[in-house]
Amino acid sequence: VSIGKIAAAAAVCLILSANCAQALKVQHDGGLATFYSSTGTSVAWSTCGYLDSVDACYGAGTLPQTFASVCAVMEGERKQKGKKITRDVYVLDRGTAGNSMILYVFARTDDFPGDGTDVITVKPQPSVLVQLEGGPGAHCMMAASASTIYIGSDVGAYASEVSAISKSTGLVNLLVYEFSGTVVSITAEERNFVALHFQNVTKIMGPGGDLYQSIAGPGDMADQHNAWKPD
Amino acid sequence: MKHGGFLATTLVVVSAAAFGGAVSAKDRAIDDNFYTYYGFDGGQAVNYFTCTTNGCTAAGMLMPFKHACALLEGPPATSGNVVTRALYIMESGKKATDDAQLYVYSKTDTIDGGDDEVAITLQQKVDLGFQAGKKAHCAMAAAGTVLFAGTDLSATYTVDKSTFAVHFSGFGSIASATADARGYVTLVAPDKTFAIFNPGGGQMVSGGGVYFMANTQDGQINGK
Repeated sequence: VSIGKIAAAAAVCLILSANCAQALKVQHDGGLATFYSSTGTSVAWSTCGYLDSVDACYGAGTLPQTFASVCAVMEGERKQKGKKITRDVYVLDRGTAGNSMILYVFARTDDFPGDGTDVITVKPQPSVLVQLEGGPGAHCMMAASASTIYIGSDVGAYASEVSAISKSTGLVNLLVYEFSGTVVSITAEERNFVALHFQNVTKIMGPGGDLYQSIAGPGDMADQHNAWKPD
Repeated sequence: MKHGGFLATTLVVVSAAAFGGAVSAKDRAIDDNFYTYYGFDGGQAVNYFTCTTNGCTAAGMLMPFKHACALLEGPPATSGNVVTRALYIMESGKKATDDAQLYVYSKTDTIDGGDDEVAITLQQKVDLGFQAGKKAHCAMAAAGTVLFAGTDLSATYTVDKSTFAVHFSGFGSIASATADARGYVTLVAPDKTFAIFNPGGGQMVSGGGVYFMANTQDGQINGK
């Protein structure tokens, strides 16, 4: 009977919306949270919560890289295939004075074999030279749409430029907007619009990485989970 | 046959509600090409502009505030061509004896082709029950059903998104509040202790250390 219900539900889903199929998937990690900490030269993570109604921590580790000075961490989109969930983890290293920042990329896999465990593996991927100056005094900024990661720094000769990095290819495109001033903030919202807020202008980037609009003045995106603060 | 159809439909609704994916994807479709950006005007006002590729269709100013310090949007809900979401603005106050407030607005976008008519109305002003002031550093993050609000000079409270009931979170002052895309929240105190809360606002883990959540849109470390 249960199989019949599921089959019927799946049929209705196909009629209603393709997205229903996604909803019908079992979210193996629905009760688990991953949280991070950093010493500046390392990034540690822990995964805890409920799995099969058991409250515990299911994994912990340190990303396999020694960094110079970590200044931002971000996750990539979650993808589920069968019992495996994959996502990227992005770590921005502002490096040492006078040198370029580096974006480190890690591929994380959560495998749920069905025995109440979460087998987690984290593998380094090719890193990306951001082409913007960093260093200990740099205030670094990072935000992303589904397609593009945007990175800025408020120091050096390129403080008025933003690196746009393709998530699929890793290619860096330096965005240069004349007379824009130093980068103040980079913020994103759930629908994948990103605001590049410079001193004199704000550039709104669309979900595909294209320039949507130029605004004379400050502008920042607000999202549903993390408050935007002007300080 | 009809009975089976009812069961199937019920199961679909439950699945969608449980996981959120199908509903939110559907909700996003109608206003997919519109975005809203904000600006703080010296803490006294919050400006907003709603735009699309062809230009901005709406703009306005929310005011007055006694030092607005943090801003969150709520998840969208769609009915026909109308998208509604909450807008939460935290106010620290000016003097150290001022109680922090949470202004809850209802933002309605009525989509008509390439036009988006925006209406924002104050739904509730919530006294957060703690003193803050301009020198306090605000922190605010949202779980699924509650949001957390506090400062480095006060304790941290939860606000129920539906009833606006305010409760002490069990956590003291906060240096940072971060959330992931699913609504798990990490609070970190100035003394470098932390607690993690599930999307329902229940505490999961606590201890010593400085931890933060990572999300898919904004890169950060320790909430900065």
